[in-house]
Amino acid sequence: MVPRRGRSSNSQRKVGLLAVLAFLAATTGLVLSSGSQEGTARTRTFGQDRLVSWEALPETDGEMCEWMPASASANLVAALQQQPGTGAAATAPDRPRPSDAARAEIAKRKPVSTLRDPHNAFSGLVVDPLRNEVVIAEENNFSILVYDRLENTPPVASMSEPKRMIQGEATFLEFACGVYVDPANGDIYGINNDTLNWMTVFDRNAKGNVAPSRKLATPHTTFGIVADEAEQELLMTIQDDHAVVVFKKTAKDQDAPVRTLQGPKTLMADPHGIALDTKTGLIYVTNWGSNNERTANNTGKPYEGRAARHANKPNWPIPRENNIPSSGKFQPPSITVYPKGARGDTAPLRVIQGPKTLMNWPTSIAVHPDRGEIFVANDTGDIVTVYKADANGDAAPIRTLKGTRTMIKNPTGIAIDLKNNELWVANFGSHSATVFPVDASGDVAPKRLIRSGPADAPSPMLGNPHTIAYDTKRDEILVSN
Amino acid sequence: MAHPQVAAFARAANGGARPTRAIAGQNTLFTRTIHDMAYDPVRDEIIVPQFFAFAILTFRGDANGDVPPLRKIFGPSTQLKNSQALAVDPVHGEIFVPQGERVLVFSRDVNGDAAPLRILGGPNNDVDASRVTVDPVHNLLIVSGGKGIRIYNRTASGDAQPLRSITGPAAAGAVLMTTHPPSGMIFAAVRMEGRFEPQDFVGVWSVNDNGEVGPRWTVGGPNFLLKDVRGIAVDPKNKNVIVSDKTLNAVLTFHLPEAF
Repeated sequence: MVPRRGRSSNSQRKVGLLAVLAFLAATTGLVLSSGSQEGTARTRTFGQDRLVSWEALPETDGEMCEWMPASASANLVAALQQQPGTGAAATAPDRPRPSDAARAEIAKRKPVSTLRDPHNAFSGLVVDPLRNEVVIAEENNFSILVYDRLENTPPVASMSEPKRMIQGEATFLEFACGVYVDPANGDIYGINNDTLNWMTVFDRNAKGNVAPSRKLATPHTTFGIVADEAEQELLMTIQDDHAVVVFKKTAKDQDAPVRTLQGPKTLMADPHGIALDTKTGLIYVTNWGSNNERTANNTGKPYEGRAARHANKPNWPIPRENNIPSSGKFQPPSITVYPKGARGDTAPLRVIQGPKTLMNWPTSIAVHPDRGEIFVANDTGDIVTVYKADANGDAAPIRTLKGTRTMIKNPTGIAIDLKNNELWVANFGSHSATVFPVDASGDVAPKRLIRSGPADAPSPMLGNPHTIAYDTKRDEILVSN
Repeated sequence: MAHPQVAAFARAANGGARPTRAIAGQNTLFTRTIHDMAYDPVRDEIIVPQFFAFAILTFRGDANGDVPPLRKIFGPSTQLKNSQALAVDPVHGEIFVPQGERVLVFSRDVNGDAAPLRILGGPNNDVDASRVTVDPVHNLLIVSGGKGIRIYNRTASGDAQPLRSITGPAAAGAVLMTTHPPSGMIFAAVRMEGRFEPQDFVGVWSVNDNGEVGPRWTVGGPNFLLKDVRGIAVDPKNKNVIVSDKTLNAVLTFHLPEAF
């Protein structure tokens, strides 16, 4: 074995050896006999090979052995020992290629398990008080669901069926997290946060696997949407670009934005929710807190893919390709406030930020103009925080909704029904939407509840499970969204 | 998606199972675009890229809830940009971060601002690195991108060229990968065309393969189950291949003893 440079304590070496043994166990099918791992000789099986006994390393303070490649089989460890310390690449033992018949059988082999939530997962919502409906963006099955506003799932029922469900390949919906309803005609606007970069517009009676009546190419990672009916504009947050883009409400296909709010002065950082105060003409944006800097001009390399497709559009946000290496930042979550017509690199009028705010992944925001209040759904805080609309700095909420009675669990959507003075919350973590009086406070039960699954159904909260890993210590599958 | 997280599920979890634990929340420093992740079995740590702040976050293996990372690679010396993928070499203690034309290599011990230990590729040697994986037994760094699967010496740097290149339509579609070093197998999530058509699959190659070589085995397709394959992992003890699919919004486990 090759001496390792430097010195290490005996205890560290023991810990290291045990770690390597654990890794070997996980990767080669090590079978341990029962009993203590210290001291006495015992039998272990490495795949086909048997290790009859082992003993601890001698107690020394000097150089220690190089760690064995922990995932190697016994044969490979031996092979590597013959070429110590070279770092040279090696080839694996040759194995014959399988027959076509064997390949065909394996290609059609069924999974032994499939982890998938069978229930709809509510991510965002909007109330249509004129038509007495609530429209819900749903991520798990790529859909938009419409329920009666007064739907109330009985405690004994497993779920409530939606009145209408828009879902399927023709809809261009995937990981929808934002919805808007046109008060004039009931048209439903949906935005996809991931994988499809389209805003889709459906007739209010649309259902099933139907094509949108129109769709608009948007920047990647739209999250929040709100309309300014007075100006006939749509405002959307763009996570990836730390921006708000504004389109004409009638925009379609490849139409360009009419303006974009983006840049370091805006203090936007992973923006999510957006709300418009129609009385004051202010927009409120919730930010999770991480961002980066990017150069205004092309970096000299031609754009590719998505960035190339939109490179010549006016007011398109500066893309990630222009990011400056090492320019990332972590900041606390915030609410940034702008005039609704803000464009370019404009500083916010106010910033609500600090530990007193209780924000924890502030994901969605709504405004009650008559009450002068803003409502924030905090995903991982399991809390709705309410602030005065003119709050500034490290402002504490004027009230909160939180607790087991509220049934608020991973709230990712929030909406205000101004006509009926109700507060709606989409709970991504419990297959539910909960309805409260607009002035509800504390740990209070909702007035009504819409569930898409049984009350006790687990919620894995999968949403584009992009990468996985195997935890060999706990025999667990790690899945990231 | 509305809710980033790293959730842990029992190995045989099925249907709408409850996670045994989940890492999520403000303190985690997570954001969207967790497009890769690694479990370090030697240190019992979970390593996750942070896309917006250009950082690499390391958590305890048993982390749960809104917990901060143990360490983060983060700062002006790192040269990180749009960090969305990584691989860990648990034996040699290094973290590999693909950055398109380059692969940055860091010590896993870094906490804070540090320059890469070495860099493979650069303006004159575009390594086209979308995703990477490491075989620490055979001392190989394996890179995927539009050019197929390229196999480098693990310690390659600068203008080093691949030892071998696996080409062909399947290799060109390889994205996320993992290895099983004892058998010398590479498992790659292979994305083909289409959103809802079941054209995708897991392709299995040997680290010895070179040239226009198809996968030795395909799993989950093509023309079977997988529609938009994403992540890939192996459970060597049970000889399982685990794969996630975006369109199915699911994680599927296949038993494939032949490849181990």
